[in-house]
Amino acid sequence: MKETRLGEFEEVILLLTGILGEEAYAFRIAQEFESQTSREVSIGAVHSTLTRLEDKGFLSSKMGKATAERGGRRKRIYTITAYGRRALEAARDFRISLWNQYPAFANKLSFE
Amino acid sequence: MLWFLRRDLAEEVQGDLEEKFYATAKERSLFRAKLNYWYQVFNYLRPFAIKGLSIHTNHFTMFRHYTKIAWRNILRDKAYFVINISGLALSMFCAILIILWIQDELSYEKFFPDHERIYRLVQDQHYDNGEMLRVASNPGILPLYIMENYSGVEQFTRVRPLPDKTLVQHGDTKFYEDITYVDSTFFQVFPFDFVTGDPATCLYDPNSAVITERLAKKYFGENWNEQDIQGKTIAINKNETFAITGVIKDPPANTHLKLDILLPFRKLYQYGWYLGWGNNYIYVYFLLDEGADPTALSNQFTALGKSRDDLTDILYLQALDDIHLYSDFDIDVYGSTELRHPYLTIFIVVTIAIILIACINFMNLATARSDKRAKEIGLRKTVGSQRHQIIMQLLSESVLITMIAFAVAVSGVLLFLPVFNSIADKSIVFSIEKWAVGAGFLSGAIFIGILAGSYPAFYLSAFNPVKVLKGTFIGGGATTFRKVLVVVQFSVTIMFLLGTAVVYKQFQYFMDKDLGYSKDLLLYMPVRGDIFSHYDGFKNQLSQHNEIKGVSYGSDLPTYTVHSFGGFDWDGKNPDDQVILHSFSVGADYIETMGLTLMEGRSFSLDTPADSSNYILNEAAVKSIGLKSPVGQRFTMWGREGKIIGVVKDFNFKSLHQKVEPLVLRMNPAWNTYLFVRMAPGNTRNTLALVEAAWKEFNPDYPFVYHFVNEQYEQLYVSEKRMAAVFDYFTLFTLFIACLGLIGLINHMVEKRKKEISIRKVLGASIATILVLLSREYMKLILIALVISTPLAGYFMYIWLQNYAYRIEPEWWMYALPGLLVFIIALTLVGGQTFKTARQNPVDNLKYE
Repeated sequence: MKETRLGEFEEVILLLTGILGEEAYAFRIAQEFESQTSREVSIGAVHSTLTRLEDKGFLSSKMGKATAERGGRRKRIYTITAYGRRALEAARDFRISLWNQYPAFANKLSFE
Repeated sequence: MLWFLRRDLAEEVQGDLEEKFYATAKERSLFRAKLNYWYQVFNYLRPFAIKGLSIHTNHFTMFRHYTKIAWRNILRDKAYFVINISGLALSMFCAILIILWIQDELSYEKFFPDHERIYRLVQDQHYDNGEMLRVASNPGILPLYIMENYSGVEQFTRVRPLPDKTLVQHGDTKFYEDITYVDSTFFQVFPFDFVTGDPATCLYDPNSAVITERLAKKYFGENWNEQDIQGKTIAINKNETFAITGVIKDPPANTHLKLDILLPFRKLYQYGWYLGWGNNYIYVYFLLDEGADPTALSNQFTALGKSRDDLTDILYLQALDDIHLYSDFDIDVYGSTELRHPYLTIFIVVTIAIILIACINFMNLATARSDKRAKEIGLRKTVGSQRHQIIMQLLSESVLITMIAFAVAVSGVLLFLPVFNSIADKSIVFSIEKWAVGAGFLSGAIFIGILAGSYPAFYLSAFNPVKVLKGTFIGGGATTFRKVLVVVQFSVTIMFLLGTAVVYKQFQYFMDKDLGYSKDLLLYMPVRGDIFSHYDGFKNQLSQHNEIKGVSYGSDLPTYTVHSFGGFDWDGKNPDDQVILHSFSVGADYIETMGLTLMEGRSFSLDTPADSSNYILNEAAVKSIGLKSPVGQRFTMWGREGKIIGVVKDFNFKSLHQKVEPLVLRMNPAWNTYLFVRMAPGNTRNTLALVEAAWKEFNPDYPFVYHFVNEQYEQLYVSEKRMAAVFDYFTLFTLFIACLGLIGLINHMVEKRKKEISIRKVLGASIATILVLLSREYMKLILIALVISTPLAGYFMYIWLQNYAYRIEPEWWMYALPGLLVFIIALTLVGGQTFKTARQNPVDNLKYE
């Protein structure tokens, strides 16, 4: 699955989508991103990435509920697809294998 | 933001932004929230979010589809396709050739890097009898004087081309060549490329010579480069030797300077009179300083001319770049005597006309046949095609067709170029280097495709699908626009036809007109070497033969002269008048040999020694001088006093562009340039052999060269001939294209009305009636075209004919014939098309009702 390359930003957004679950819409993801990374990001950038990920097949989306803060407008909720999950796993496995090869980090990593 | 945002994203984006706004307002401040809102909006200016931008457009797919459909359409109706291609290809073919020609004309002299700073000194000479001569040459000393007394000129060079060819010899190779004397500064003003030799010093030595590569090969062989050519000598005119000091690369064709052998101007100093103010044979070129103002200098020179008595009135500068296209001096060895640049305008206009006609054809045919596409368009619209998509489709079809036509046109040009070059007397090369030009043509072709296709595209795409699919749609037919187009096409055709007829007739007239002397069977030989010192022997020997009717000599050919002089005097002349008259020096039997008619008095006679200072005038001279009974009157030229012994009938010694001018004949053996021999009709070959034998006997060292006067005469009208040829082609093309258009239209109309025709037949109409019925509509249009074009064409022709002092009077048949011709052609076409359908068995067409 080496064709599915994820950029760093894309990977983070993808993971955040998984983390937020029902709350995974552009604004929330952007907000979470800023709080976790202390990097500022615009909603447009996030939205663009989300659309791209959707086009690549890693995400699916559907319209969710409308709320008052949004002036009665619905939000678009994104969910990771199976394909997306596989891509994330591939990315993680690749990183781990490289880190294992690097003597300083080898055998010191643990997951789960 | 809604202005640029994609509509389907609007809802979620706006929602997100509002949430962000409130969140920021709560955490920070209202101000920050507003600021941030702007920031967020800006960040939505991304490709994925902008209206109309689709990353996944299907434009590419659509174009493949359009091409497929276009191709199928083409195959469906090959005849129509061929008509279109021919018309468009032909028009583009013409356009390309014309543009190449114009490019070449405009490129004259650009070969010299400083061509913008090079100017030529020219004059308008005014005479007291009101005449004005425009002359491109000057006194020999003038440029030296100018260099000394005026600033602004960096360098000058004088050029003196010898009027006649001279014998050049190296070893056994001898030919007659053109010799030009130039100053040693010549190459500073005109930096030609040298193969060998030093441009700065090669013409210092008065016995040095610079030749072109072509001549080097001619005299020294193909391997001239390997020989040490510097210092090798050639003999000029048998006695004088010159050493080669340089060889230049052959000059390109697009410069007005024609060079073969260059000799140092210094050599001419032995003829002191070149250096004075009294002569006027030198061409003077100046290389101006950078930044010098040519107009100011020109004005200064004009003032100089006015201030000196021995100079003519008006001196001024002519730009080098203007020489080729804008010269119409009366005396100019390098230029032509008539302006060239009007031809450019004419050709451009004609080309545009042809292209327009082809486009009009295309439009006409496309709209006329629109009902064939109607169903397809209706269907497309029903399935959701938008109008602009249909327009795109139709435009791409027309562009495709145009591209194919373009390919045909280009291959045609490449094939035809050598022929074109020989007609137009040029050497145009359509090389790969000129890719910029090719790209220009390509975009031009695309433009034409779009132009031609635009009207049909808009017309067809407007169809109402409901009407079309229901079957109540009746498209096509001859709407007003289309009728106008046909009329325009045929008007232009008729005008061209008329033009051709008139030009042709005029040319015929020139060839057949009685010139006052007989130009046929008249031989002339330039005097070379010793032939003239043996003239009497030569003449006697030839006169013994019956085949020779006359031998004489003269200073000019009866086809052209530049010899005009002042210094005349006669009884009753106003001493202050400066009068210029043409004059020939001739031999004793000149009048008889040339076939001139003596009106009064007698011809020159060798028996009367006084005749060597006597004169014969032509009628025009007598009239202009104003003498009542000229014979016996006193007449003086250049101090030689004598009597007028005869008056000769006017004859045309210049081209028929001008009326006969005054001419003075005198017998002066010193000025012999040409020998004339009148041959009896019969075996020309034999007679020529006799003349050659005589020449060889008296002048063995110089090759025998002869020409016929009537051939020389035809040369005068080269430009008319060219015009005629061009007109012929254009007329043919226009006619062809217009007919194509007509055929297409008729064809379509007839097909559409098949059923109607069959019904009429069933009801008893004869074939003739049907023919008349169908063709009436179009014949009316042709008539209108006739009515419009004939007066217009007549008017243009009248203007053109004013150029000529001797011209034909347009006869009635010239107006009627083109129109009639076109009418008949059109009738045939229409008839032919309708006839086929008219003859059909009505049963076949009505079977399916």
